[in-house]
Amino acid sequence: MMKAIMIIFNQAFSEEVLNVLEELEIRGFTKFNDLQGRGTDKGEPKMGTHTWPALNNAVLCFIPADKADDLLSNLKELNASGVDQGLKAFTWDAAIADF
Amino acid sequence: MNLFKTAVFRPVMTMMIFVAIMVFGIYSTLNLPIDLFPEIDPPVITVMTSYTGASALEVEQNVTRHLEDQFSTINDLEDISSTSVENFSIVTLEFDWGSNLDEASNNIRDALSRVRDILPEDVDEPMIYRFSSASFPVITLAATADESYPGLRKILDNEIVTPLNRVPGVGTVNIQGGPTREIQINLDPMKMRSYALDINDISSALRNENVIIPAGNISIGKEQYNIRIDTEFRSIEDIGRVVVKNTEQGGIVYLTDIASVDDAVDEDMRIEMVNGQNAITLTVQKQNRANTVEVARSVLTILPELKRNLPADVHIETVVDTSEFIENSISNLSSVLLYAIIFVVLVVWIFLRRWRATFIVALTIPVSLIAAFIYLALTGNTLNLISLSSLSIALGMVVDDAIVVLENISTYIEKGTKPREAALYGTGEVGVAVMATTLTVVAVFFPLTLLTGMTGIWFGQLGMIVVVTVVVSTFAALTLVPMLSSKLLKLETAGISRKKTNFGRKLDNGIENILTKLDLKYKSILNWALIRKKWVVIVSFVLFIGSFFLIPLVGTEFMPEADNGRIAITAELPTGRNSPSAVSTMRKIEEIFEEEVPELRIISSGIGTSTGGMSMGGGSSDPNVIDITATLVKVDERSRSVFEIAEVIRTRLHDIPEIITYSVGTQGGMAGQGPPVVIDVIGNDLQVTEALAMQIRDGLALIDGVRNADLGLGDAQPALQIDFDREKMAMLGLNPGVVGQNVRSKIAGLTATEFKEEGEEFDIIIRYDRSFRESLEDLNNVEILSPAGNYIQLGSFADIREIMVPPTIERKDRERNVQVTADLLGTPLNVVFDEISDYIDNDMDIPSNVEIAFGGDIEQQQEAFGDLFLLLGLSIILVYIVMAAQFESLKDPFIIMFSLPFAFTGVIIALVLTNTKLSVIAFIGAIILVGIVVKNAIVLVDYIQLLRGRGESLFDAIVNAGASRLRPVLMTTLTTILAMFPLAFSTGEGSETWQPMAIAVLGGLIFSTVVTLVLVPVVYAIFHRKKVKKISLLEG
Repeated sequence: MMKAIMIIFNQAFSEEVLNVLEELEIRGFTKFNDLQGRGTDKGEPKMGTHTWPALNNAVLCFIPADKADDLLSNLKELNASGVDQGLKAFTWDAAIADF
Repeated sequence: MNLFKTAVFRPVMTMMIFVAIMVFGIYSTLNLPIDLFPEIDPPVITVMTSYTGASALEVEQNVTRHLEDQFSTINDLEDISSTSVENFSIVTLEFDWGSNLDEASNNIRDALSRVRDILPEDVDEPMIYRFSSASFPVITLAATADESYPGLRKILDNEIVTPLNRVPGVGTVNIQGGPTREIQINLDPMKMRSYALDINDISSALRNENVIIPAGNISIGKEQYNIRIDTEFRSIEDIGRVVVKNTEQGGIVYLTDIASVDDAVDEDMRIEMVNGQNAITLTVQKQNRANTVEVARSVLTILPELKRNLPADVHIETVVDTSEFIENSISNLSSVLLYAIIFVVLVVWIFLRRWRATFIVALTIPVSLIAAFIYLALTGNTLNLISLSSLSIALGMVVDDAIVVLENISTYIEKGTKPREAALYGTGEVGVAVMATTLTVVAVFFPLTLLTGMTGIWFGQLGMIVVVTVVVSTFAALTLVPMLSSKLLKLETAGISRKKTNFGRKLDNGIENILTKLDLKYKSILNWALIRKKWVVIVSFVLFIGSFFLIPLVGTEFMPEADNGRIAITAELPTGRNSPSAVSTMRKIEEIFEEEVPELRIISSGIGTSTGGMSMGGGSSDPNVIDITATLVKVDERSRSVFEIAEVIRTRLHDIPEIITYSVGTQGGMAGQGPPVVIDVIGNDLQVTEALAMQIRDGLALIDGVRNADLGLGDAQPALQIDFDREKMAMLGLNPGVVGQNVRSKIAGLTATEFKEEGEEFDIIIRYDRSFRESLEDLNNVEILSPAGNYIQLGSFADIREIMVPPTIERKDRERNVQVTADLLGTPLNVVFDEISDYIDNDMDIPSNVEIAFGGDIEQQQEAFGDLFLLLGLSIILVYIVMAAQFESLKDPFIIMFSLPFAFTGVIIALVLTNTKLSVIAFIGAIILVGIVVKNAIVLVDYIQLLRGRGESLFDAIVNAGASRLRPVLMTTLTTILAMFPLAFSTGEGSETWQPMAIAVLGGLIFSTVVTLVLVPVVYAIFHRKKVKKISLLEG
């Protein structure tokens, strides 16, 4: 069983997120840089503009379900270190396409 | 990738760029020569022509006028003025600033070659002087001696002048005063007649006897021989043995038969006294590009060595050492700069209370200052009063950008953002405002570099230095500061606030409390003001208009007077006296100094025409005018200013009966400064203009605070005019030209040839013996040899009458001009100008052919103020343009500019309170305020926009932005104020010059900041009340 995990986070967390992936030996992921977005409820917009200078990055990875739990718990810990910064993860089921 | 992102992500590269700047800068700094002012090359060329024996009137008619006529066609010529005095014609040509002076010199030479034929024969070859800063003596030395005095001039020439000339950088060394040797042949007219000789016969006999003629060469066998004729005089006796005539009876007439040959000294010598002793002064001028301080230093180091070769009774003292004033001023300014740095760092620390943050901000100071040194070195400038003062002015501004950036980064870090992102976001948020403030500063200072003339030299460098430092500081604020912040700043959680001492924590909390209270207070003021917008606007408007009523209280002047510790006195004695008789008066004046002025360091006096060539600013040219230079001890070693001392001297000079007029001046330090009040009475009838000028002088003297009111003309000198009876002359076969020449030779003397001894040449001068040229009768008895061979007395065909002639004739733009000059003591220039114009308009009757023109500081001030008003307008427009472009808005820059009028209100209040006059310097202060005061408003308005962009309501955005920006605004303002503070209140040497500017900036900045903090948010609210701006998230 594979899980798709999309992590969208304040650029400030860039290194930390990569560290987490490294620690868990998650090699397969795709990283998107300099993304604009806006927090769900109280989060500040990340627009990379003069008004809202922050930007988001995102990581999309597909990993086995057991690893996904480790990842999410690590991310939770990371988020706790700076709640105002903004870090969210979304998961859904996925499968590796056969060809 | 933008600038600060690159910097944050490539810390090593960023570091290295700044290390490179520092290394290059330190190298430049070490090689930077120091000087008082930037190289000043005023476009002035003087043509000096000597016409010995001619009175001012003849010089004017026969020399000056012809020269002026020829010169008037030269290209780029702006003004032509001239002074004709006894023996000399001085024509001063003023060209447009920036015109090519080499070309001008060539044109002058061409004009001179055209005019040569029209000039009288005895006129010496005109000399062309290019006026430059090198014309001022670097060092003036005085040599005094007892028994060696008669030969002192020669001793000095050999032992001092020659070695000094070899010192690198030394241009010319002039000797003034002391006896000059000449060989005098004093004729006895009776004996001349008995041998039927005329003066020309004797002259040609002497010339023919004193020759070296190479006569070619011949070969005898294998040898080749030069043939030489050498009959040069070997001794004084040789001269006496010259045969002047073979009589028809076969007798021989020697020179000694008809004349006495004296080895004597020049009769019209200049007398110099230093500290009451007969002296010879030596003035050392530097070469054009040489450095004043270096030249002075090397001269002073070599001097003790040279002194050892002098006879024991010869003493050499330094009268004026310009390098001393320069070094003192520079060191004074350096300490001003140091204080400024300390103050600035202190302010930053108080607000941030973090050593690392303070260090980061403070680091921008050396970086930007050093950039200025690189600029100075690259453009071949010197470290001078202007560049140093500019640095001190720039200092308060260079930390501003760093403060704004760093303050914002700290806020982010306190919110919990990690240092690197905090650096990126913090810089990104205020980057626009920082760029905008820098561009406004550049918009104000850059036009200063476009000024021309004297003001251009002064303020061009100021403008360029501020632009360079501020641009570099902004560069540092956008690269170095975020990079270092991302590395050095850490989140300081309140609990584990490091190992701070108890006191440290208390201080920290104490300051924080005060600042927080200030924030809250300001917030409540803003709340209060935003509800009463109308009232705030009305009160501000009333304040601004009200300050206009203070304007009449502000006096004006051209440049502030500096206390350079030097008093220059000229005292005029009754005309017709010879130099030696003035010595007792000189003693009297020196005694006054001994009694009244314990601060005196050295006093040197002189009278008579200088013999060492006309050096600029040295020596009077009238035999009856005493000139005295008194040098005082350093400013910090005395309690009285030079102005007070001069005033004491003035009252005492009044009591010396033989002095007709006197003036006690305190200027001369600044290049090209004359008396502040110059009024020209232009018209060809000297009698009319002189009478008018005297009236003006008397009117001036009545005005409070006017000193040394005087005519440039001087009192008429007695002269004997010879009127020929042309018919009688014609019958005798004579003409005025021949007779005039002849009389001139017999009275003034004829330089026949030269006597050489030990490699030096002395003039051999033939004229009537003194006993035959002492009375009117003697003059009548001068004998003229007619073509028929008869001796005819001058009196038999000419009338001699006594007349009075003006000792100097001044001309301006080819018209005669009588100048009235005066110095001022405390009274502003505009007051004097108003009163005297009023007097001239109402109480005087000016004929239509006479023109009255104001010159001197009045003219310069009017011209400069006109330029500066234009510049002020230009700056305001440029600042608006820059801001409009930056904010992409026409309205917001307009709101920001509401802080401007109150800067001027502040300037007026500060000038009135400190009793400072509005000079060009203070005016420049007002102009640079345009760039400085809008900075606060920019930071404020930009943040209001930002908060509104984040969706806050207008009211909230204004109040919150105010609260958030209060600290950076206060910090940047305080740093600018404190950096100016030492400049405004320093009392050291040369400090007076920049004081008015610092005072103007302080007043304007303080007042406008206070008003800006309340008025600008209110005006913003008024302008933005109607439509709620729709802000797209993506919009900048």
